[in-house]
Amino acid sequence: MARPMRIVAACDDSGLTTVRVLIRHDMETGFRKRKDGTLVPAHFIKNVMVRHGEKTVLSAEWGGGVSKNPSLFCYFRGGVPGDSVEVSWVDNQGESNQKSTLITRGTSD
Amino acid sequence: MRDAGLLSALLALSEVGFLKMAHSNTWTWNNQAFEAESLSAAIGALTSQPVIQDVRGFIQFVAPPIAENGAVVPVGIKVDERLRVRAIALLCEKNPRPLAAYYELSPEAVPFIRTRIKMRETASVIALVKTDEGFISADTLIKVTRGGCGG
Repeated sequence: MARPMRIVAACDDSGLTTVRVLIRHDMETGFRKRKDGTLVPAHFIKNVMVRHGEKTVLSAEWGGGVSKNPSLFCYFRGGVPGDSVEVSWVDNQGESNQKSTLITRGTSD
Repeated sequence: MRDAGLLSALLALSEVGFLKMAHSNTWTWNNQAFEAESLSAAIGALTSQPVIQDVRGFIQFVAPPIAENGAVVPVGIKVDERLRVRAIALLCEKNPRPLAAYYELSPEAVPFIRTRIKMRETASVIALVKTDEGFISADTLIKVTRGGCGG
């Protein structure tokens, strides 16, 4: 089952669009030990991409050093309310998800 | 001669197509940089160019000086918009794998990234910024009262 993710995209009066992304993911480094001393296998998101229409605005590469249930903020110009913003990610075990939203008016912070 | 012209036109077209695909459909991940076990090795895997210390204050950190929980340390890196920023890397000096995140930005993106990282212990957090003028870097010390990499 796809892991839940939440995206909010809002454009303020100055034309600045803020995209806020929250993904539910364990982000296991591969170094953490269980109580019996065995290692929890590495399981973390490696790539996140933010697209505005056809354009890739931000492309992220992540390691296990990013916190559990990671968040990502992206700020860009050129968006207007009603435009589509799409966020997609893939992890080191091949799991992935993508979601799109429409830019609303206002600030998302 | 006509054939040569046609060939180069086709090559130019396929090159454009390939570049477009590479941008929209493929994921890249800098294995060498993310698996580096020291700060210098990670930076060396990110660039072979000289890195200039940001003495003019182009890079600004948005981070707490003290983090109570090393598992979740919010860090923001904001770069002066007068610079054309291509990429921002976020590294933590004393983590087993110093490179935490690497962001590539389009010209529309404002050079400001924010995320939450794990920190094993009190350490310097480093921003390495790729600009059209070259690489610049800045760091800030974040004190961690409870480490975030334990088992």
